[in-house]
Amino acid sequence: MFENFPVKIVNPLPLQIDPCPIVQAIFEIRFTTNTPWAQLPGKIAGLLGDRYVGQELPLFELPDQFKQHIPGSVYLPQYQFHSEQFVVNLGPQMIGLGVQAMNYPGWSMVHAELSTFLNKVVKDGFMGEGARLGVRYSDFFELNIFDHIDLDILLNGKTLNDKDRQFTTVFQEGPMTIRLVLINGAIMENSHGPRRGSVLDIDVAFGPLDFNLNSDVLERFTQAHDTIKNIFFGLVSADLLESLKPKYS
Amino acid sequence: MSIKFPFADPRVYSLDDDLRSNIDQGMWSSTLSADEQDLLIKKLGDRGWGRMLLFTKYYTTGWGEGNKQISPRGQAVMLRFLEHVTFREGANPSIFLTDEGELELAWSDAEGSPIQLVFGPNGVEVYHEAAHREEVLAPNQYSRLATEFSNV
Repeated sequence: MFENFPVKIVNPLPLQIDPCPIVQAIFEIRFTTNTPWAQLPGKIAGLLGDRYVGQELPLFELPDQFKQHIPGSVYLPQYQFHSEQFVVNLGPQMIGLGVQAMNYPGWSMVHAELSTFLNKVVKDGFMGEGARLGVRYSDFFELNIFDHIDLDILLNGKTLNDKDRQFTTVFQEGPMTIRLVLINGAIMENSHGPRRGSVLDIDVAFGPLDFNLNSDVLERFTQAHDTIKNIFFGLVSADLLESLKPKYS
Repeated sequence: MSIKFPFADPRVYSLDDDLRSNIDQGMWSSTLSADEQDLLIKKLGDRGWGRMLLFTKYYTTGWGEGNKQISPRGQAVMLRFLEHVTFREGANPSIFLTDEGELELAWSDAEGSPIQLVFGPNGVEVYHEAAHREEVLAPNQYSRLATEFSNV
């Protein structure tokens, strides 16, 4: 299925796993706009309606003269809207729908919210050109992920016996740029308190010529989600998958 | 994308409860990837590469007197053009950002006649004085354009 990243093909894919390792999922669009930043939070608040409550993020309060010297700051969230299950991140040239941390409600609910969100936000027309469309899923496991995936890192043909490892690879699959990050030295606080574990992080992005703000944003988000799901289940080993109690129907 | 974990120093993963500190500068290229920068160095030289970095990082909406930032589509088409084109030795094309956010490549042909290609969101404006050529091509014509202007 993947030309440049030979993970195994898993078919059928599980519909549900438990415990769900997803700690973060974000669906983001970067764009150009003629709408001044000062007007955007108010405009988006009006589009999202009462279900979402807005708040300023720390970057919001920094002076513009300072922010102009941070490359890419226009793509960083400076304002955020919360609902019970979702967040909307907003920057001068980015908007993204995310799932509340460690509260992934399943793809069907995410897809439905995404569809509603796009109908309200994209159709408003405040976005000029689409610059990047990306989806990112981050998973956390209380184990050493490198012992439970079908990917080896060898030195002189032998396994590394290192203490802490971070692995990043970027590859292209058709119009998609895919970034995979694996880290085994992660600390995350969950309902059981702080835990040492690993992060498996996958980001899939389309460039400006590969999506159309007026026609195929939801389809591209869905394509990116499906790609991430295929990579995830193609990477994890059989024992890890078994421990996640996959359900197929 | 736009969240901090797990890359910010110290190199330990952490997740903010309310996702407030979603700032990470290091891992996600907000402007040009390494491949794209390598392409710019090879095709436009150090100077062209440096100018593109400036354009992409610091020429935000409203630069100058209310000018537009780089068109993402124009930039993408120009990069694809650069992938395919082989510039004549000594051509040394220069790159400019127009007030409208288009990217302009300019050089002279072997006889010294000016060539200008302007990459915008909806097409490529082509001007070659010696060939009496002035037209606008669709963005997907970058490969053809590269063939026509290679070694010119």
